[in-house]
Amino acid sequence: MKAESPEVSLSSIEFIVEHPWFFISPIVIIMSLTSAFLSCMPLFYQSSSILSLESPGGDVISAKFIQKKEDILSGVLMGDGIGNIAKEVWPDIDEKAEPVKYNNLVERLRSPKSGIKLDYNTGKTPTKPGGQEFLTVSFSDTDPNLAYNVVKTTVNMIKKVSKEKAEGEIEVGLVFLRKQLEFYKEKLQVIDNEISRLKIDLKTKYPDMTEDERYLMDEMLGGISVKDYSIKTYTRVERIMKYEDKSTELKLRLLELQKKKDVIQRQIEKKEFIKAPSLSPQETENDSFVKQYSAAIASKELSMSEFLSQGFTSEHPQIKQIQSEVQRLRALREQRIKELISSEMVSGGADKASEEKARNELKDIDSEIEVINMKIDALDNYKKTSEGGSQSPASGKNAISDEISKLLEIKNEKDINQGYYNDIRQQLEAAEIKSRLEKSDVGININVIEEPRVPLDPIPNQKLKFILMAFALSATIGTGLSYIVYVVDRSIKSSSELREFLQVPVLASIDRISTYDEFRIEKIRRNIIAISLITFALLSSFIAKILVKIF
Amino acid sequence: MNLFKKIDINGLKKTIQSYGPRGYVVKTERDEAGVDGRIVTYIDKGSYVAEQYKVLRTNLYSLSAEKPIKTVLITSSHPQEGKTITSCNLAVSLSMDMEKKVLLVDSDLRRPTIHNMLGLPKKPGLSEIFNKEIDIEYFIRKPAIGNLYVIPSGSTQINSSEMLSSTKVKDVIDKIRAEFNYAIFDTPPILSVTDACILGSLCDAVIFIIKAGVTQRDVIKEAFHMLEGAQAKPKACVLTNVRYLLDNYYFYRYKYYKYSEQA
Repeated sequence: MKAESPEVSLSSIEFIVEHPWFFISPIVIIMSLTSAFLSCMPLFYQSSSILSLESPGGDVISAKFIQKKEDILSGVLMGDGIGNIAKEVWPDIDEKAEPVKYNNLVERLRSPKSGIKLDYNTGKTPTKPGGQEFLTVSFSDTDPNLAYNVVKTTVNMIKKVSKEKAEGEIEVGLVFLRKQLEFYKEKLQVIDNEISRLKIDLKTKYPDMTEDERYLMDEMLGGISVKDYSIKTYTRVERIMKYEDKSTELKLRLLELQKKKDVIQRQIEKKEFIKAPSLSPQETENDSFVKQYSAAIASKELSMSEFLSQGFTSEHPQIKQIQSEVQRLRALREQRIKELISSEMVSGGADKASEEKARNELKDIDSEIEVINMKIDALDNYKKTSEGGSQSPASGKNAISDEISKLLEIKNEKDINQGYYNDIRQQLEAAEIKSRLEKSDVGININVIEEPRVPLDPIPNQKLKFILMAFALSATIGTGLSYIVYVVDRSIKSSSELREFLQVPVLASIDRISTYDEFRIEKIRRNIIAISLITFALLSSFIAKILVKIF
Repeated sequence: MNLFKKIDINGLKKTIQSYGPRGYVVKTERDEAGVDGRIVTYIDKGSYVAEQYKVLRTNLYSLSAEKPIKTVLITSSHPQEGKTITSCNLAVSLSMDMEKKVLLVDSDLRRPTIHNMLGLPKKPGLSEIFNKEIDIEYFIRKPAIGNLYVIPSGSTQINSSEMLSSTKVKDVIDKIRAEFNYAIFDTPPILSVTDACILGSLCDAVIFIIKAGVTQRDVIKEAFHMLEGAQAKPKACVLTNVRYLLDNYYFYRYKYYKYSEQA
């Protein structure tokens, strides 16, 4: 029987043993580089905060809730939201001056791996009404304060955005109303100031005012001291005012009629109806009615110009009202002037018919005067009875009444503005109540369950994981490399290979025989490789340490 | 602890050291007689490498079962592939058989090494025989080492090819064939010089040495092609420089040796 040479079974690791250095070198190199890198890796600190999200309806699992939640979080972490966080955390950085730096920071915050992390914990009874959804906001950095700041800012931003989202739609209407209200408030303030100014003027002008007048004035000026006077006094004074107003009106009419009567009588006596020259503007001005109208117009115009100077537009209802009043007064004045002129014209007739007419007119005037006198007397009587035992009005009574009438106008104005103000305030209140009701359905209740804190301990680093990964990688590379070298090598390696290749019997496989020298050289070669690998490992760790110190 | 006793850690250590990928390391550089330590069959008879040469010898016997093989030429494609060591060890292991007369001829006239390996004088040798300065009888008379007869190369020749192609060579080989049971011819590498081709056609068998992990397939093909052209197709191969792994085979054999040593 033919004696076979020992057959060596090709175990799967043969190629590694064939080329051990191709296997060991990548492992050593990659492992040492990894360990060097790991030693360079800084310590990370993580700060986190837990928020609870809850829809006002209570049922957190609804699609509406999810939509709102996503809206809020996309508002915080997408687009400008993250830019706002960056600006708040790094206030020194100017977006326009250092765009690259700014973008890097934004990218860092946005990055899904190292950026702000949002983790949901929906495991806590989310299906039950009133259930909560928990959101953990966390960020890690080498600087614990920075990590804390980022988390804090993000939490604030989430709260803010949620609030804004809820209020956004309703707020538009409210803002308009609030502005209107502010406008009228200012205006009322202006009027109040004007009134108090007038009051002081009055007091300085007429220091010897009666108590009633003073009260009246105070009342006109906005009811400052109503509680000091009884209601009875108030009504009495008011009545006196009315009588006085009426009597002055009648007296004016009386004066007018008497003047007319004088003219007609003179014409009848002289029997010459000379055409009187038309009245000059100055003469018409002297008429008491025209005077009053002019004064009223002037005061109105003054107040209007005052309003305009304070920034009110001509479209403002207040000013429009004043304008219409001025127009009405002007029309009245014009009418009065026309009447005056026509009365002069009428008296210009020269025949009997005209004389007769004048006489008839005189009769009418006389009867009217009589009626007015009666009325005046009656009013005086009423006044006296209402005044009781009070003193007669002061000497400057007419002037005071003028001033007071002015005050009346202002008060009227104030009342109108106050009306507007109240109207708007009511509207605003209604809108606010409505918005509050709507808001409860619009937003998400966000509560901070765990406030962010400055982290004191670094995150347990994952060095072991990295090392294992590096080992797996380097072992794979080493195996692959030695396998490639083994496959590429076209030399004969075993007797079975040789037998297959040559179809010639292989008499023997002789082991490697080496002399001492060869053995020593081999040993030296191996040592050199080993030492160089060890040196590489040490050097890389050394360089890593230096780099850590430098940066 | 029993388990450790059974495993025999020291034995395992030794096994790893002596049979590891690094191969066999000589016990001594040279013995007192000046024989190189690499001639394992002579220096370290009990070693596993000597055993491998015995396997080679046995296989050579079985190879010559059909047609008797008396003259064996050993060659390789390139230098440093183990021709000389193999031929020396083969010759020594063949000479162990006391009934057989074995001759080792160093026919590498350009870079002779056998005399150095066996601690013999270089001259007189083969070139002297061809130059008719000395008769072959001189070498046949007494064995050089043990039971082995050796013809060294003699003085270094540059025109060895011409010398080997002379008619004298055939006479010499015939004489050797008549006198010896086995004659081993160590030759220069085939891709370097054509000596092996010339001698190969005159010998009974050509054994081709291949160095594992070094000799490329294309080179082997080329060498075989050349030998075939010279009517000297190799009959067999020997694989040298094999670095075995810790195969079960060796453990069993190691155990066997331990067993035999104890016995």
